[in-house]
Amino acid sequence: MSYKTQEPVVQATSLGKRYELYARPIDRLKQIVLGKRQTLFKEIWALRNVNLSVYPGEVLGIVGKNGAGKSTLLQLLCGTLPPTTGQLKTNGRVAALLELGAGFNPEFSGRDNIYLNASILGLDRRQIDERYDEIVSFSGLDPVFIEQPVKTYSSGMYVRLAFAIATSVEPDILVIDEALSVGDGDFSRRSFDKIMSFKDQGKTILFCSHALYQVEAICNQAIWLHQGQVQAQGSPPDVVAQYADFLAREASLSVRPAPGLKTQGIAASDPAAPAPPANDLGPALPRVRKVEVQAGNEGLIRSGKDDLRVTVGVTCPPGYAAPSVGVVVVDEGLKNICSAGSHIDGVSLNTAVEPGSLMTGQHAGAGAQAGAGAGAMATTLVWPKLSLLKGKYHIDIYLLCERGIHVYEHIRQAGSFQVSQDHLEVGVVSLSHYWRSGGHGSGHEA
Amino acid sequence: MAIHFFVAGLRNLARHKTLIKQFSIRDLQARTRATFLGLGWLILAPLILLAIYTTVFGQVFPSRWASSHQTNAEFALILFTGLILFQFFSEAVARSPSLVVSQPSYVTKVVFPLEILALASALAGSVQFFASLAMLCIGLAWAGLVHWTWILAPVVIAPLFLLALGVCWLLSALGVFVRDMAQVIGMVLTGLLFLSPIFYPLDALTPALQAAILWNPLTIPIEALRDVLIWGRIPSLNLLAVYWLVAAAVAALGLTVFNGLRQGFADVI
Repeated sequence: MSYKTQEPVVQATSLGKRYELYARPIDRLKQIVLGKRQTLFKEIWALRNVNLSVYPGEVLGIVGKNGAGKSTLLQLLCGTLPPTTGQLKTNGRVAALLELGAGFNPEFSGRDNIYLNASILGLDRRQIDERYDEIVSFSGLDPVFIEQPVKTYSSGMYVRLAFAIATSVEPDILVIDEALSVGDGDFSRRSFDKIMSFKDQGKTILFCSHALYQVEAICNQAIWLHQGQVQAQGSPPDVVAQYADFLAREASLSVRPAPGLKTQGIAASDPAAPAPPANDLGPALPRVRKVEVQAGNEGLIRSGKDDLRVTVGVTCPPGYAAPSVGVVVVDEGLKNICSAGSHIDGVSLNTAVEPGSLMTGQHAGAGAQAGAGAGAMATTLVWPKLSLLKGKYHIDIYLLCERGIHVYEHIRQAGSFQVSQDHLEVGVVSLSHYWRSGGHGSGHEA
Repeated sequence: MAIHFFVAGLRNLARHKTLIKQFSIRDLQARTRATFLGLGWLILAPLILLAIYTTVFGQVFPSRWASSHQTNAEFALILFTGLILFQFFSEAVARSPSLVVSQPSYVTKVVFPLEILALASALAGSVQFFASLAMLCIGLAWAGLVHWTWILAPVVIAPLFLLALGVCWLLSALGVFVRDMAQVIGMVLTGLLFLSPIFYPLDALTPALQAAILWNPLTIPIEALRDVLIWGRIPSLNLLAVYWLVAAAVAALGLTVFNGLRQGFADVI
């Protein structure tokens, strides 16, 4: 991409943030009066020496563990925190999707809060009037609720309204914390689409995420922060690889996580917005209907001899493009061993292969359209002559949007199988290899 | 540096007119929302207060006005003139220490021009004041006390607004760091109430006391407003000019200090 010819929209030079902890609030006042002569606070450096240039249309991903300074950096970038050192220049309107609904007054109605919040974000009365209907319809709030105080809203309604307002200001720069989508069910998908449409319009997006997969998929630049310092910066695959390495090293030092615990890996779903469990939201979203694992003979695979077949059945309501399926093989320690994704391999799910499934008349027409495929569908992934070595493995299933970024559903340990081997190779996998006799000369495959 | 804080403050106020309007209306609504009478309290509250004070200082402890030739109605009008100015000032000041502290999300979570909080609060308070002033004027007209000097009232009232605004900025910034501010202010305001010519005429005091009580920020506006509304005479222009200067200086100082201290807000909220 040749954005670099333009001026950066966000430029930070040796940006740093020091939090000052005071024993009593009045000490802070004394400090202002005293200036630099005496120090009354304990200092904590949340961020040191960050340098950034983000160009129009770029997406910057920030990764790092909790407390690494990600949120501080985002707050500095959107101007809610003043930097202690360094300089920050932003060019354009910034919309912060951090702390959604922070500016709401719980006593006032949804309507009042739309006006209040949008004017905090810099819109004048006329502009808000113009966008009012759009905000309400995007938020999906019932007209009855719009006139009620927001303290009566559920947290989902609260977030939906806040998101609708924050994105209505047509920002040039979007700052997002943790999740690329907010809310639940259908809104989660729509909020994700809204953010992606900003990306497609060439807006600049800055976001932090635990979903390394998303960072790799949509970012042009990535930064890994560790204890307030930039540990790596540059192309997303490089940065993510280094960070994943670090996580793996750290995990191996600590105790093994208990099965069922969440781990951070290449395709870990976002912990801030876990995919909702199936069945509680009705049929409004694409769902995994069934998973079938066929592994050799009754769940036992002879290494290098038997196939592993994973069949995933999916329902897709009308209006959604056919989703993608990701299958991850996980070992006992919940480490990802290998994976395959229908979106990565360019495979689209074929509709209704199973006899006696939920097939109805409508999907036949919908399936004919490019990209759109409502109805029931299924796909089978085959790993022929699975070359994993002996051990017990689990299968994780991901149901993703057609781009393979937004996670509809994540099913942990949807199935499991065992591998046995009749030789003495060690490790987790037997890669194809050959030996050469002598120092040189022609070799032959093993 | 100080100039910079002042200019930045003024620029923010000029830039956020919509927001100031919105916040003033919300502030007013928040005071009356969920109450049965709603905006009716704007009228009722000062009347109840007036009834109490008229009874106490007209009948229980007759004040110097009450004991002279005035009728009960005239005494009530004189009292009301001082009382509504005090009410405006005291309400604005009493609320100020909590203005910023009570809005933590505006300090730490969103980019927000905090200086508008004091202005919006003062503006909302002045709506109450103007409602009371309208009632006073109706009462005066009823009593047959209409003077051409009424048109001078804005010149008398405006500097008190400026002064209150300046004090609000100062106290709302200090209130973030010194949390005992609210208690202290309650006592100071009670002192200002009784040490001002609200319940007694200024000339009933000894010259020494008169000079002392002139330092009360409410004395000059109260006397001047009575001059223009009730007595139909032009107030002391010298005193009024000095008062304008001081009020403008306090407002400028307040805005400057507020913006100077703001950097520390996020560290302690």
